[in-house]
Amino acid sequence: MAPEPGRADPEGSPGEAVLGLEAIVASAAMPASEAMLLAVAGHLAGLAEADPDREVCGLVVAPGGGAAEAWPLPNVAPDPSRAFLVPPEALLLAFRRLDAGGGALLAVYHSHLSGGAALSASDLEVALAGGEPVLPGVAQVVVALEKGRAVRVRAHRFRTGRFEGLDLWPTGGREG
Amino acid sequence: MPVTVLIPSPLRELAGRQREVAAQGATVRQVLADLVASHPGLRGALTDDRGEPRRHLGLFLNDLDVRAAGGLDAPVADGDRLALVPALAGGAPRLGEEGIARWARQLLVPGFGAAGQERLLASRVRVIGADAVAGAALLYLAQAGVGTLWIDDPEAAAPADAGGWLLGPKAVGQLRGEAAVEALRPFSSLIEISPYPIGGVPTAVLIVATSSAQSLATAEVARRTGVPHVVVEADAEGGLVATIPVGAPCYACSRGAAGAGRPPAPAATGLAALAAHELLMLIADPSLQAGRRFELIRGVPSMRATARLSGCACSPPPPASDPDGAGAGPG
Repeated sequence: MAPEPGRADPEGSPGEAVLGLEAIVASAAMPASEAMLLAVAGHLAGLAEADPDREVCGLVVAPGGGAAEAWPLPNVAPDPSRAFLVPPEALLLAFRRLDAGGGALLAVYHSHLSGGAALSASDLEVALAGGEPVLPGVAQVVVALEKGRAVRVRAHRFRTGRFEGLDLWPTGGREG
Repeated sequence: MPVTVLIPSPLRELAGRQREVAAQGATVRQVLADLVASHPGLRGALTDDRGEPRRHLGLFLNDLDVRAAGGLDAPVADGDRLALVPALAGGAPRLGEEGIARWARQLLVPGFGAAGQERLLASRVRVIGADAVAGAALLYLAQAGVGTLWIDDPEAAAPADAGGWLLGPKAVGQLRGEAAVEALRPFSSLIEISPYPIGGVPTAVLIVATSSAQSLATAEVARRTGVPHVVVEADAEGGLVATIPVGAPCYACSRGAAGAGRPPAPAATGLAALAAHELLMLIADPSLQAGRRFELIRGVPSMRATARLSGCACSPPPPASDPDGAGAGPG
């Protein structure tokens, strides 16, 4: 998977990702959390492509003082090709690990094997409660696959009463 | 029993940024209720519209999954530690390329769009009745893309049912529900259509019952279980359609004085299409909260907002600050 010009290399070293991140933050005044997501977007695309028959899922975290990381979690949905469900015991351990390292949760990610990078009705059913996000300040990142290849990685941030999309990979840009 | 509730980092913003909070109760359920009462910001993350724990919410009592420890009614003891884990789940859009092609026109409707179509596809609609009036509504719902359509009608089809939009002469004598499923099969490549499964939990209900008593009873069940519903009552003059979102005045408050007889075919089709449209909009736009009632009398339609009848059981409970109900009425 070749990186796009001007983007953090999805297969690159952490150093290269940080350099790309600094340039992006400096040039576009992008919030740090979005820039950190941008730095891991290519890696998330790779994770989804590596498991093209099931939805992959996990957390994007910023361990204390470090660059963003993807923490893959198991998907135990009855039909993992169409849904994801993280077992609570795995999530409990992940939260404890996060606390122990003094880090922050930036996003929850999962892949769609088809249908695009928008949040689906079932995604929204879990992510929202009474019109408010269940996990305040945490982005929902969707990796869209088509025929097993990643075509888009989009972050959905809750702002002004709704989720707004921000394409992270392969081309950056906001969606209304 | 004082219990320590451990708040995971993503939820701490909702709980005053605390890692741990104290809550009281003799069971896990009571501890949760006390937690939500003392930290209302957590309510949406932990409980659903009915106050029950959200689906897939993880609860660990002293590191043991409460599902293995007796569930929500598991007893708790002084000093126990209850860890909360929010649900992480979701899934792919059901609207694939074929769906986009099938429902292209609906996707262009402002305020409906892909999100509305996704909600339709994710919905489970129970239709009570499959007679000549309900037949047109069933066709409408199936073609609009309701994901799961459950048809609930154990009566045998009569000759009068065969004159509608859905059932033909061959259906006479068959169970209406089964005949309707068979008739709708050509529309079911992208959706699921079946007889109502006992115990199935719908996300919306369309009631086209053959008697007022059945309409009232089934509408009351829908109201009590927090399911939006639309009720059709047809008579020889036309009939009415009552739209009842969750929390709106109930059907008993909304209904009129239905007459006897069956409506002429055009009126039946008009009622059915209106009822189906109302139900589709309730599903596609969950923010709709106002109940309304349409009447069709000899081809002339009218619409008005519904109002709660004084003393009806559907009235909201008194405010929590008035636990004795002293302000609810004359004592």
